[in-house]
This record gives sequence, structure tokens and C-alpha cells, in this order.
Amino acid sequence: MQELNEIFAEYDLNPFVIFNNQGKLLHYNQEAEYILSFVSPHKLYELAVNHAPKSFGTKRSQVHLRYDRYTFCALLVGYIDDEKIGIKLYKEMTSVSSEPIKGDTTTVNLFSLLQLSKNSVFASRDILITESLDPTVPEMKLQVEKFLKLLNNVFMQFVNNREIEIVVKLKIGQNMIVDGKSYPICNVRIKAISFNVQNNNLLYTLASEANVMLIIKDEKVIIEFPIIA
Amino acid sequence: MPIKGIDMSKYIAESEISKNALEMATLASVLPVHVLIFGEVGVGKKSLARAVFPDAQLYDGLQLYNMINTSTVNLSDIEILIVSDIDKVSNIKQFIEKLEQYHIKIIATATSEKKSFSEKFAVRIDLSPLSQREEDLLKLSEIYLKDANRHFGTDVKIDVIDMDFSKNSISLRESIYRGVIFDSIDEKQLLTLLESFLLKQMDEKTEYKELLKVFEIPLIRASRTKFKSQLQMAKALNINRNTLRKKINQYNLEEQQKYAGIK
Repeated sequence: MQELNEIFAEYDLNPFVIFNNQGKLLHYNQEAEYILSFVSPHKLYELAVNHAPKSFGTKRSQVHLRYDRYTFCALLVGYIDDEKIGIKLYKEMTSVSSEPIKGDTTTVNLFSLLQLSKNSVFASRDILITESLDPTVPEMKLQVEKFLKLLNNVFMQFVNNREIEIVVKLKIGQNMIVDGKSYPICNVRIKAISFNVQNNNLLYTLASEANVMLIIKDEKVIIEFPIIA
Repeated sequence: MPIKGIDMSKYIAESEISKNALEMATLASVLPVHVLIFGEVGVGKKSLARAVFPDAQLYDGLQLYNMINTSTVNLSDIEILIVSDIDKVSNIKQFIEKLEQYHIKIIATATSEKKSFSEKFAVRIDLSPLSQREEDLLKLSEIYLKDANRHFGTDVKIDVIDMDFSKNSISLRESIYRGVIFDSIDEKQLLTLLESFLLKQMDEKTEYKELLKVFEIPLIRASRTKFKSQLQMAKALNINRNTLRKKINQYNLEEQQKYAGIK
């Protein structure tokens, strides 16, 4: 029978992990299990060691970390002996709100927006663009102007490439909950050999304004948003 | 007042670049975004805007900016506006925000880059110079030549015209009209033209020798085209070779050059 504090830790929205002194995983909650699918345990262990208190106890640090689609704003690291160390990461709550179905949204064809943005940025450049576009992606409600500005700026980060790959697809088996309703997820991926990492903060700001999720990983940028018809 | 009387001849979309621009403008026409059409003078920015938004009013940016500041324009019933030369407006952000208060969709044209463009325009259409749009250049030349021939009642062919597209369609049309006039002019008209020109040049200090170049330079250039060598030229014109040589040096005509380069 689990204690109440254990149940709370298990179902916490923030990931929580305990390592032994060799960096081996001893315990993690459900949210950490998901995070560990794109961050290595070694990376999290190093993070815990680097932010550990000088003596037994806990230490809270303000950070700005980004793993996949999540941003973390703080860490809690603690140990009570030399055998185990625990780390809890605090999520910055900037997920998609109910905005996409309110305010200045317009029902649009996503491919038209891609075409416009692509032509705006790449028209005068000698870049080979290969596209894989899922024709089943329906028209959807988007904040057109903000979304286009995000796309323009994302594409601008790729202008030094000779080849760029653009993939648009529906995410199979995953849905996004907005205002209590479940919507399919559209995934737009732009990939190339090199990516200008200088303007990441601008991209995150624009994504936040457009109310979509932005993931920057290696040399690719992924934009995800619910398909609200 | 909206600009009227500008030649908004149909937008020419023969090249890939202009077809692409037209497609973009058409796509953007149904979206709630401002559109910027960017390019050199005479590339067809306003024609493109007019082709896609035929009913929109066209204003000069600076003029409209001043009219807004002096409250001499009524914007309340306007949905779409074509604003030319928006880059000449000193405070573009403030200008656009003012128009946004009336929920107006802006189709702006510009020839020079401004920082605020990427912030204010979600769609930007770049129109390349005519020199990079061979098919459009050809089509436009045909249209202008047809117009000029109809206007002057002539049948001048394109190959006799020295086309100038340094200022895109503006210089192209000018050069074609000029070419048609030059090719169709008869001796009497030429003499009248020359007389009128000489009259403008004359004052108390004008010397005969100074004005002689008006006759001698075209004569030397024409004879070189016709007879190729200086020997043949001297023979045909029946002047001494040394005299001809002296005149070629005097007018700096050693290399073939356009009249515009002669001082």
C-alpha cells in the first residue's frame, strides 16, 4: 500500500528522479518516465550533481532548460546520505491554451501558408526543397498572421542550406486537449544539415504568440498544434 | 486623394518569378494579413497589387501618412488599401498601427529595406528586376512597341530599337517610344527638331564650332556602321583621313558608345 506522499510524487506533473551515487536510476515518477524518453539519465544525473547543495539537504535553483517541447524554470536537488540523490524539474507552463479557437483565428489551408512562407523566404535562393505533405491534413483554425511570422522566421534560420526537407503529417495515436476537448495533432517538421541557433529565443516567442508548440532539436525544427476545424 | 491616372496595365506574368509572385499575392488575398511587395522602381509592384486587388484604392504612402496626421482622410469604410512607397514614410510602425485601428488590410509597395517590414508584414513578395525576367521583358517590349506603333502610325521592328531596361519598365517604355520616333522621323521633321534644339542651345557665347558636333558625331558613327574602316569612311565622305582621325579623337569616338556617354 502506497503512502499518500508517494502517490503525490508519482502523479506529479513535474518529473522527479532518484539516482544512486553511480548515476543509476533508482526511482522515477510517471512524468519523468516520459521525459526520459528524450533526455538521457546521464544528462539528468549530471544536472542533479551540478545543482546539488554543498551539504545534506535540498537546494532550489532557477534555471532555463529546454528538453523537447518542455521548458523547465526551476530545479530541486537533494540528498540525505551519500548513497542517493534526487532531482525534481519544474515545468514552465506555456502549453497551448484555448486561444486557437478564440480571437483572431481564421480557418485556413496549412499548405497555403507553407507555400506563402516558403516563397517569401526561399524564392530568390538556390535551395532544393523536398516536401512530404500529408494530404489528409484538413483545413484548421490558426492565428494566421502570427503563424506566418513564425514560419518565416523558422525558414530564415535555414537559408544557408542547399537542401531542406519539409514534412507535414498528422501525429498518429496522440491528441491534444484544449478546453476539455481532444483534437488530433498536426506536426510540421523542417530539417536541414545546418541550422542557425542564434535566434532560438525569438522563435520560441513567436511560437508562444502563435499558440503552437515549438521543438528545436539538432538541425530540425518541429511545430505542433491541435487541428481545430 | 487616391492616386488616379497611373498606367495600371495588366500585370505581366510570363516568367517563373512573376508567376510565383502572382500566385503568392492571390493566396495572400484571402488571408487576414498585410502584404509587402518589394522591388526596384518599375518592376510591376503596383500592377501586381492592382491585378489581385482591382477594387482597392491606391494611395501614396507619404501622402496618406500626412492626410491621417491632419485628419483629412476618411478611412472608416475602407477594407483594403494599396499603399505605394511605404518605405518613404518616417514612422512605418505607427502608420500601420493607425490603419489597423480601422481593420484595413494593407498591400504596400517598397523599394528600400526597412527593419519594421518583417514585424509588420507576414507576407513579403519580392519582384526581381526585368533583367532577370527575360520572358516578361520580351512580352512588355512587344506591348510597348505595339502601343508606340499604333500611337505614331508606324511599323517599327523591335530589332532596330536600342532598349534600355536599367529602370525596368519605366526606361524600357521610354526607350521603345524614343526608338519608334527616331526610326520614323523624316528629313523635314529632323531638321525642325534640330532647329528647335539649336535654338535652345544658343546664346551670345555660342560658337559655330561648338554646335557642329550635333551634326558631326552622328555622321561619323553612322558612316562607321556603314563602312567599317576609317579608310573607307574617309573615301565615302570625301574628306582627308587625317581630318577624320582628328575628329574621331576630338569627340572621343574611338570605341563604339551610346550618345548618352558623349560630353
